[in-house]
Amino acid sequence: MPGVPDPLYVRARAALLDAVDALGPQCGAVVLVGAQAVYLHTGDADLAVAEYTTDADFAVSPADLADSPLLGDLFTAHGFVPREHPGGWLSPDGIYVDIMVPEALAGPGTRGARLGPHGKRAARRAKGLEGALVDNGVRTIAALDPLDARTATLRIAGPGALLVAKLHKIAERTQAHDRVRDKDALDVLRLLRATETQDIATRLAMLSRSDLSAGVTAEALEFLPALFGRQDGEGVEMAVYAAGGAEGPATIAGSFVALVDDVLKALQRPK
Amino acid sequence: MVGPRPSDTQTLRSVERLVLDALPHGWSFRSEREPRGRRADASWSVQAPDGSVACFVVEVKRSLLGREVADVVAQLSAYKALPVVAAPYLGPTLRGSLIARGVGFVDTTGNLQLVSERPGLFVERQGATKDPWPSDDALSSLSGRAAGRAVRALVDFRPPYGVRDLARRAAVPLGSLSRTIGLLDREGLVTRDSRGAVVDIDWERTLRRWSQDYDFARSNHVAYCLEPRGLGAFEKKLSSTKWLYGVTSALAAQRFAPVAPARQAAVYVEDASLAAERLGLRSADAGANVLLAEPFDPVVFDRTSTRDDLRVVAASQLAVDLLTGPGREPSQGEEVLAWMRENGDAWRA
Repeated sequence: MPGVPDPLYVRARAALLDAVDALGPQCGAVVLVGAQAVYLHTGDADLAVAEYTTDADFAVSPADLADSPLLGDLFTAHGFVPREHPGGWLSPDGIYVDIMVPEALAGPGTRGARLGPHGKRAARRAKGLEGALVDNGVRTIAALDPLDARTATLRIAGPGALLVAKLHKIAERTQAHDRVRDKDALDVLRLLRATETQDIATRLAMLSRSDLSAGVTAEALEFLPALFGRQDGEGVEMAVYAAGGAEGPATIAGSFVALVDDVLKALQRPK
Repeated sequence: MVGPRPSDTQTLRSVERLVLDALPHGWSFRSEREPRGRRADASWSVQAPDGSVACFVVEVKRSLLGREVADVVAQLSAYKALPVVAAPYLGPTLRGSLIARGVGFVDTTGNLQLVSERPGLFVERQGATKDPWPSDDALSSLSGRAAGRAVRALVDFRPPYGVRDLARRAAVPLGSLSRTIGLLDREGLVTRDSRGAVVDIDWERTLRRWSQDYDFARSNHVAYCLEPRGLGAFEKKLSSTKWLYGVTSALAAQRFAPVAPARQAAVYVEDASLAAERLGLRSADAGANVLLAEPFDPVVFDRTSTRDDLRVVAASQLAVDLLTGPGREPSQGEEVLAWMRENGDAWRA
């Protein structure tokens, strides 16, 4: 129904505001990434009946993080419960919150990121998020529940950084033959559809010039045509599956091929 | 090749063979000719394996018009037997009104329905859907451009109206309007007064009758396109255009009745390739989500309305487009017809 957000989406937004409340003085050191950031750019009108993710994911910039208060103390004080893996929290309302550090800044190790006094369980390391610290913008967001008057101002990853991050996540999963996150492929379609070709090309070019994000962006631009630039690409198939009939498979495939082609042409990269 | 239209005697002989073939195993059939001058032409006795008998009284018609059905039913009601009409050919509209009145029928092309409660009998067969012996001078199909334009006028305006008056108001050529009214009259869908003016029309059955001959995909010239950014983006672009267009099918239907969100948009435009270029659409062999249709007649742009930022075709046009569309569109057409029944003041001038 247009105009009435899905109740789960309302809860996800509330959990995001809970997390921002909890982060308090450390909020300036994080950037919102993941599906919730995608929806802020794309809206939830198109493909509205297809499934979507509710997790609130944050990328941390270690250089901007103060030594105190500790991230763990902040979350615990606001009723969040730690999950098994580093950086994983459950909001008081049962929504997943994940704190991640871009791989390039995470120091040595395999799972937890090294964050000085915050320890190695405060955040998980994740490849592909580097761009979020380069392509982002400050935005004020509000609760979707009419009875919740809260707003929050925070950094939101831009569409270029989100595309790079999603491509890394999907490539990782397909290489591991892990089919669990088909929804991520649908988020790629939402991003490509909602962002003007020139806008996303400009952002990708900027990410390619930054020392921090050049490496992951170059890899992402290899993943893009391989996963989404062909009718039978593995990413295309994942998106078709996740759309669950909200659009026909051939429409989804045709849209990907056309939009990826446009982006690569704008970047002057032949497929 | 068919021969000339059969006589009454030939018709009766031919349909009796059909009935005999259609009866279930173990049933028997006997026919008696009624004497000349009686109200019916034959009596049929159909005997079940248990010995019980169903009696039918049969009226043979060389041709039957929709408006004559009531008279035939009255004529046969004098008999105690179950009424049956036999003819060389009975069209779908006519068969529908016979079924609605509980009258059995059989024609020489094989259309057949005989029902009896005791003994329990239900025999049904499908024959031709087009008249093999159409009369030369009268219109037999509503598939043409002029007929479509005339049907739109007849349905969209509220009777009573004179033929000349309606022709002028709806800019329909007088000749094609008269011929279309003639066809609808023969099928019993319009009522006329002694001077020929239309005093009533069964608009819903008229649209259903049109949908037998019209077909959205074949009557119009359709280009299949892709908007890679999805239908939401397409609607936004379309709503800001200044040129002539008319949205039909599911995207329009969801503006009249609660139907599932459209997966495909269908839009009437004057020039499909120009429109595709202006809207930034790509042509698509598969997976089209936008259909651009150059219309069978510019009447599709008449009596449009603006709903939720888009210009949509008249309800009558929308209904016939959906009824002849693929997938779930025919059922959405039923939803639009239901809306039209409820909201007669909103769409009829």
